[in-house]
Amino acid sequence: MSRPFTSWDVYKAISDPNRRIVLDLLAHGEQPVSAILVRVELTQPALSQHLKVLRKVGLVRQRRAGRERIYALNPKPLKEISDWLKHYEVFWHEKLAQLGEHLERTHGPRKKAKHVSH
Amino acid sequence: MEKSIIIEQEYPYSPEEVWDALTDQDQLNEWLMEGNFQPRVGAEYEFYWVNRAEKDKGKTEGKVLEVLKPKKLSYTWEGGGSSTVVTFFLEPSAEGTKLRLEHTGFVPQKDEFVYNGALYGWKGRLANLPAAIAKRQKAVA
Repeated sequence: MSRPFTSWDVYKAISDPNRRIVLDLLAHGEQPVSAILVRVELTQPALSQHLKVLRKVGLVRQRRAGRERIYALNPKPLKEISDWLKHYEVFWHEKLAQLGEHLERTHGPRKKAKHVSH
Repeated sequence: MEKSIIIEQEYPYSPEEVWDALTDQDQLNEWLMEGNFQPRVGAEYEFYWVNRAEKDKGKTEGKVLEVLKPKKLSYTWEGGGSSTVVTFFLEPSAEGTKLRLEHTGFVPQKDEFVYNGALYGWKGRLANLPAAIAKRQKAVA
């Protein structure tokens, strides 16, 4: 990643129901991948992808124990987005992205816009 | 101390096209929220967090402060005793239009309480977002 993680990235990470199930599981304590797998309706590769996303935004930590990979929850990024101002920031990022999609649906695709800053 | 949110975004559409999306309620339904917005100074509006049919689940209301087509649109954003101001600035750019959103006037302590009440609504909406986008993309394709 070339830019720092934002609350928007964290919010996107937790907007997926499967990833929320994983986080709920880990909220009760660290778990090996095999134990997570039996609790979610996912294939191993799909679970790996979700865990990768959660690791990227810093919501879970991984350690190795023999051949097992053990995952643990890191709630710090969640604490950060519980800040009310950040929620509105996330809200507007979502809405302005939807505005772009709306314009494209209404007027047809044009040259790709770029994100200026936030 | 008051806090603000400032977000800049560029769209490959003309300021007039973006302006219409910001001010026409039929278009607002599509990307922001259902409500009864009118771009007229002094006009009062309501935006429903879920939809019109479930307006009791929460709403934002306010009054239009400034309408400068197609450059600046400003309105108050109120709910549960907190009052903030949302302003959109539009400016032509090489890409099309540069939009600058300013959401100002957050007073930390007071609004924190208000915000927690509002949180439930946003959380539910954001959780539904991926499905909503997928549905729309399917409809377009």
